[in-house]
Amino acid sequence: MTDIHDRFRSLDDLDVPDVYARARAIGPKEPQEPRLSAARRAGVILLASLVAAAGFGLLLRARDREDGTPATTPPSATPTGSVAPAPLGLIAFAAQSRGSSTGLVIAVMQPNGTGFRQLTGLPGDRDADPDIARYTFASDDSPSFSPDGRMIAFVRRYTEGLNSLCEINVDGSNFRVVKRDAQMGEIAWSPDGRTIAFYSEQDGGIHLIDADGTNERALWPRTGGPNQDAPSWSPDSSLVYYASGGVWAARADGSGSRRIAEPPRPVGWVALCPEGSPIAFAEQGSTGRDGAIWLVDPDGSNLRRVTPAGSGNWYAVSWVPSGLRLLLVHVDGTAALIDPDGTNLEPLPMPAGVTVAGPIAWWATVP
Amino acid sequence: MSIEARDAVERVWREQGAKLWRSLVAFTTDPDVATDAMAEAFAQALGRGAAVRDHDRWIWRASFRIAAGELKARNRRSGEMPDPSYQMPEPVADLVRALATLSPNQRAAIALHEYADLSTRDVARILGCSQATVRVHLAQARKRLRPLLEETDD
Repeated sequence: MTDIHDRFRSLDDLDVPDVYARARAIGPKEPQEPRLSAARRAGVILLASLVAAAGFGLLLRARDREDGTPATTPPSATPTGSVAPAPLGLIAFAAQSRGSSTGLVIAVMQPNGTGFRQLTGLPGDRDADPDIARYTFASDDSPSFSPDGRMIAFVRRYTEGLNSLCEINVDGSNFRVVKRDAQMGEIAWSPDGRTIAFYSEQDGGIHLIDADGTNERALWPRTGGPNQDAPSWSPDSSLVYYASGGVWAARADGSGSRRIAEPPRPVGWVALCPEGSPIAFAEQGSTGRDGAIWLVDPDGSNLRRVTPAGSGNWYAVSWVPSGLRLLLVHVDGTAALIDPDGTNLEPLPMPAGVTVAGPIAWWATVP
Repeated sequence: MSIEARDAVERVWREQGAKLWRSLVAFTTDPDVATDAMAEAFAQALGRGAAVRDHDRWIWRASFRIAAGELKARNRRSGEMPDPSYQMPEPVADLVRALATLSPNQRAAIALHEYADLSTRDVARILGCSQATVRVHLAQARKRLRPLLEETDD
């Protein structure tokens, strides 16, 4: 079995030239990042948009022919503003068609794997994006449901390094950009619907912003240490849990920041159970070692591993709305369900040829 | 520029220069492009001085962006990647030839993750994309590399 990491170590055999001497010889320079000309970029954007939309559309049509489910229809361009959520609940995720080189798009489907629908990366939302003509689309990711399940907030990224906070109705209508140049990583919509917590690329910390895109503020000023990432709200929207090396929490007003758990390996994703306890987190995998999912109580006690050794390299975790099971995402783009005690690991049904990237959001009315 | 800023740039070179250059070789598959991009990034860092807050991250990010720009420009000029692997010792040449079959995004992600030992979060910061996107690139790159590298195993 080839260990790819070991093969990369062969690069250590290369002698490194004195690049710094060459940089000094060039002399201090003003920043000049290579860019395509405006006209060429516009052409590339148009072509990429057409190819992306056509490519994913063809994939979905092919899938529909295979399993008999209805063909995916493009979203309506007419804003509706009021869309009834599916009664059995929906899951939303960043999706990619297997083998495609186009970016991630936001997709939804029923938790049983039926009703797959691509929401973004289609002409409707691209036409409504004021930046799509200026920048090159890279991906849509980090979906988070509004509390009523009618809308999904997500982050649209451009290859130039900029990104925007966007929203779209769960039926694919009414795409809108909430905040341009948002400098966002992963986002989480608060259960009371008022606030979105996110990783900020400005300072590597957790920031909060009102759901209308105004009033951005730092959760608490970060002055050093590991980045703060992967925010998750408490059910009453009073606390934000996040990853920063270990598992941390702070009140939404920024006070009371405290470390809850400091596992041996860095924490990648944090997800609080909708019942308020326990906290699930994914430890980051390292070379030759799989990432595992763990649970810990909010007071830092009762740390226990969920995923059995050898079950795979899991890097993202979220909860089903009932809080009774966990949703995991594997590095190979597949997803699975598992009980919190580590039993009943089973694949999440997915349409053929579609892979998942990042944690899955699941909305449903819990009786 | 301030002495502190120059010292910070020199520290990046001293502590991370070798790792950055070899990562760029894995990304570009061409030592000359790696050298040019890295020298340009360091020269720009020296020009910016104290305006750069995090020199480590800035220089890595600038180096990869400049290198990506050069790859695009070269692709427009010639339409294909040259093969400079003949200049390299084995088994580096095998690795570089396998890397050349990947897309630029896949190469950047796997070079930073597998050679530079950066977390997916740090790779995302350098490439200006999300962790989720990095995961996709890594999975696709590993899937493609594994059989190619197995063929060259002794």
